[in-house]
Amino acid sequence: MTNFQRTDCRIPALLAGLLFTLLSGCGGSGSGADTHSNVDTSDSDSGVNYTGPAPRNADTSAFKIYIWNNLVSEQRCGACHRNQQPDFVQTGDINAAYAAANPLINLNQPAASRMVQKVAGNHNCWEADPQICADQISTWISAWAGETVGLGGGTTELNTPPLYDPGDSKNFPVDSGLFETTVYPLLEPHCSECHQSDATTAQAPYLAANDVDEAYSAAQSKIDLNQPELSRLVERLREDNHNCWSDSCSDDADDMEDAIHDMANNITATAPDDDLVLSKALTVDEGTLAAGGGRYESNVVARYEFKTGEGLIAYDSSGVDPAIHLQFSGDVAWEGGWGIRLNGGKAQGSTQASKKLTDLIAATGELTLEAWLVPASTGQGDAHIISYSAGTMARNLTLAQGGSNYVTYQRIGEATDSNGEPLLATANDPLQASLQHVAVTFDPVNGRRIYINGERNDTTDPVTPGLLNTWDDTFALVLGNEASSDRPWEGVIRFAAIHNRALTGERIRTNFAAGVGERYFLPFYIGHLIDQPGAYLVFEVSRFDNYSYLFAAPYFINLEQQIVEAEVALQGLRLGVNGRVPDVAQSFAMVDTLIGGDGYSEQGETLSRLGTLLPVEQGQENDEFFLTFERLGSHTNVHTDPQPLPLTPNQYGEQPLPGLRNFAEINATMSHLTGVPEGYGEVPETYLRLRAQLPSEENIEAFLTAHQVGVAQLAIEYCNALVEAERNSDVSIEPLFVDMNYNLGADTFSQQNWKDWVISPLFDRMVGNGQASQPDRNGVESELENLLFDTNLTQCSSDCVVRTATATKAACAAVLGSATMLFQ
Amino acid sequence: MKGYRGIILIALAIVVPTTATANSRDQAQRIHNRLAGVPADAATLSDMTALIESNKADEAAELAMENPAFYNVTIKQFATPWTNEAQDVFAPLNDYTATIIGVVRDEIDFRRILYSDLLYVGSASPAASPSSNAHYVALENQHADLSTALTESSQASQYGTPAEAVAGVLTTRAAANAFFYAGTNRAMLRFTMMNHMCRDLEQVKDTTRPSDRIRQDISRSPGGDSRIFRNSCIGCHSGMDPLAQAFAYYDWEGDQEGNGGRMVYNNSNDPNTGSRVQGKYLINSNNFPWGYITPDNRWDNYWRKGPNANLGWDLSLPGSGEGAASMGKELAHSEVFATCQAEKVFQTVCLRKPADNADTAELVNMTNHFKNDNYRVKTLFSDAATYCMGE
Repeated sequence: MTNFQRTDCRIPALLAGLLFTLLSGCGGSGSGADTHSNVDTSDSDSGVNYTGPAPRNADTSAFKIYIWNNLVSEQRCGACHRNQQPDFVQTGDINAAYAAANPLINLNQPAASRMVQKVAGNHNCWEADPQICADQISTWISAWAGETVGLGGGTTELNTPPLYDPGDSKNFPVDSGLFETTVYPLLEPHCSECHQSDATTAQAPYLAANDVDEAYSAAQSKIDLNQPELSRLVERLREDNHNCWSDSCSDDADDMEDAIHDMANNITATAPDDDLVLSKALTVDEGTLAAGGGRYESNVVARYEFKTGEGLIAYDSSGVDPAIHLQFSGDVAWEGGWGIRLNGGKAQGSTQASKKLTDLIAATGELTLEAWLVPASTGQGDAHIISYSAGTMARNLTLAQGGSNYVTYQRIGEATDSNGEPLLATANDPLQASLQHVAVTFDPVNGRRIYINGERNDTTDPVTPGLLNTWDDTFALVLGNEASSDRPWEGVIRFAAIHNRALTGERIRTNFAAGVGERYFLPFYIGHLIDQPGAYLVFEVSRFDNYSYLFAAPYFINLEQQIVEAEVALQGLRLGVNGRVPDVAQSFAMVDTLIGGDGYSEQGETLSRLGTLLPVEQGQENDEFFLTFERLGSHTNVHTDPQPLPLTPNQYGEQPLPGLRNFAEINATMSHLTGVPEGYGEVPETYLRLRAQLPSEENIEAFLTAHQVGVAQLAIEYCNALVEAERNSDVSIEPLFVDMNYNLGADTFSQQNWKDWVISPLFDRMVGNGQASQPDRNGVESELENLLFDTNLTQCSSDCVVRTATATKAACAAVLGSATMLFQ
Repeated sequence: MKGYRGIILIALAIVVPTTATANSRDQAQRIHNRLAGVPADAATLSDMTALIESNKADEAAELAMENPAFYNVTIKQFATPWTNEAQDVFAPLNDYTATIIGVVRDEIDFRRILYSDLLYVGSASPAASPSSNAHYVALENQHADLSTALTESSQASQYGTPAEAVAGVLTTRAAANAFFYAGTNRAMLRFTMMNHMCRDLEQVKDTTRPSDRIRQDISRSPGGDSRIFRNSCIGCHSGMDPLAQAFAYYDWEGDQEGNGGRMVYNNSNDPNTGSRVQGKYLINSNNFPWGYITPDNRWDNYWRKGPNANLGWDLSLPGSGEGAASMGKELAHSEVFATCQAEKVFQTVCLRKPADNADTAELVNMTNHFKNDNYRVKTLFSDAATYCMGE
């Protein structure tokens, strides 16, 4: 331990001393029976009526309220430590008990108190899990600390870690030969449909590229040689069922894992490259636990930190009896770094214990429901996250997910019904499938308010606030579902708490800023690199989720010097894990700065406010981290990226050589062939109506029947415009059927007239001459003769003059709407 | 429905072209069809045939491109899908499309579309406006001949856009409407890459770039699984976010639909952010408080290293800068920008993607010719048309 301390600026406040009010409120609620041997901690129910000397000062008084009252009962420490040393719950003199307790307590870091650690070490815990007793005592100490040392940032004294070099690991060989004979034979046949550059829907990484070197380069970041089962190639098959090639994704994952094992078994673990500029190494547990506290919890009545990590119970660590421990049922799994993942299951408390919520909340008429959540997706609706209820139609309080919004139901006197409706939903879709801090407050003046990540959501309670006198004390507290198990919510809950006061916005921001989960400071020793004993780069580290650590806000500090005069260049900082430096997520690789000199103070020197994620590989106890530098002082090692392979154009194989005209080309072509401008008469209106029915692309294989119908209709419109212009002698349109007399009946023309005046001009204009690939003239004329003569189009018994124009338009449209126009 | 329509449908589709070996007239007709979208008239066809028979197919192609339909149909359809997020080919004429048509017609170095102050307008009323597309809709409704109706103007003079804010088509009203609306402005980079580098982000994913510039709004643990971030999200965002920072001062003001909104550009500090950065760059900051906080419009091209170094970045440029124009230049001066134009024109004219070695070799030829001919787009069209005119 050193004398140097770093104030945690992210934590502006510890606790305020309002727990006394809360504990007094417990007095009448301690009779609820529970399956656990909880003891109401109020003075009158502890079985001890203190009659000794008055506390000498405020601190001793606070000690009595928060520590002595909670521990003096015979079911807790009172069984022994009223008389046995240390007699910190002796009943004769509270001042003597205070003196005995002080050496056991660390107000700066309650969790580090001897009293807490002793109980955590399985010393006579009154709960099933020693950690729960430890957490409860820690909570009470925090409350005492809030009274005693006042609100303020927690301070962490950095422990100097053991100094050792990074360990060995397996690294990828330069040559792709091993990959080619082990993993590539699975990738190439099964993944190349997407994961190569000339796939129809090319998806990077191109780990199944035809060029094995390209595939090897792309696959390396998806292969974990040290722990093949953690390879992304394996996880995607095993957990995501990502395009498995057999009927069993599990078998495919096994095959992939075996292949990577085969590859890894042929590689010898080696120490990190000698050329690297390396710090000393350490594990998370060798770091220094950050100061606890920082949260405002004076009115907490139920709290879940999910520290246990095993078993089927989530413990209520609020310290307020009776504890509402939650029993898991269905699919509920523990998450690394404190939390539970709900996949349709639920965690439910007993109705007897849950009764304290009604008792304590109805007494104040206020509440705050607070949680750190990670919704699995934004697609969930009617999914109950935290509920104090009896089923789908009866509840006191529920926080639910409705798509991208949070929704709350709450009984409020006569203002809402027994199901807590009208509900209050957030505005502006704030819910994301990401870690979020959510707080719902209620008080009789302001009604319900919802805060997301410390910011109040812009939504207004639709009901007039009132009293909570309609709450039903027979309901149960449930996480991840409804009591009736038919409103499942999928996601992770990393923390949940219920307070019986409406926290102010400022206090909610305080709790948000305190974050969730354990935080450590990891001091990486660099003194040997810059010839400066006591020099460290310190990262704030926490478990981000099941799969990653968060490494954030690195700073430089010398634990042996208050002033560091020398300025040292630092460039290209990278984090290493288990002997290797991952390529991914190196957020400090661009750091280029000087450490020491004027920028340095007793509190150290911040390098960056950024954070990044490193993978959990061998568990928190075993994962070993270190730093590398491109430059640190006189040591340099330039990081070089592999030289990429040159780009080669993709080839897509044989495709049709001809194509269609698209909609715009059809319109322009019809205009061109008929001589009717695109803006003439009803043409534009018809075109706009039809264009979506015409081919939108030239690909001939995408041709549909509906396209032809659209083409025909547009052809008719153009031919109609042409013939009508000719009939009306519109000089703006150049005539095509120049010899046709539209004033005579269709039956007055000979077949030769039709051939000469209609069919021939159509062929000459619209089909053309002299091309080898055009339709045969005789064939076209034969089809048109069939249309005009054999279908009796040119025969008529009445309206024969009109029929002349109709037959001309029909012949025109037959050619104009044919493949000779459409095809290119 | 008019009565005759039912009658003539019987005969449709019966008349199909016969297949035979192509002759020079066939080649001329195909060149004309593919370039102008319409068949040649008899005189032009004869002239083109003669040129082909004189081994001057390129001149035949140039003749075909004199047909107004080359601009009114082919180039218009070529560019229209670039101008909207849905890549809708039916989108109305707009300033982005018109500017591309003008640039092609006036044979301007095509790279400049991503960074120069270019804008083409017509004579229709109302005049081109930063807050309305009515001018271009009017041109379209009047069936104006875009081969002659467009004249070169500038965004600075026509729209009053500050000179430092102009970045070619990226700052046209249509592009801003499509890609600066709401969101985080990453869309502008993504669609520019899709349209002018022929690469969506999927094709440039690289998880090995430093992740220091990924903004706070990106969840590092989507659905509670940080492996998704480390293996997927980071692949695009590590390179995209430092490039898209070039657009930090831009936003779209007004609805996306309708006809009233306009692009806005912060010339001075934004009261919401305390800097010139638009608020959209700082949204959802609590998703990952340790993420990057955008202070300005400084961009850096992280893809100059790693696998995407093979995109052929111009080493004479610094690879970083301030604002959209210099970033647009970074993209436009890459090798893949030129290659992409060749690929797009090849597909537009040949109606297919490259099939074999001969096709890919032709793409290389086209790209080189394009570059050596001052990035003249018509040269690409000419080369593709003669290559695909048939034998």
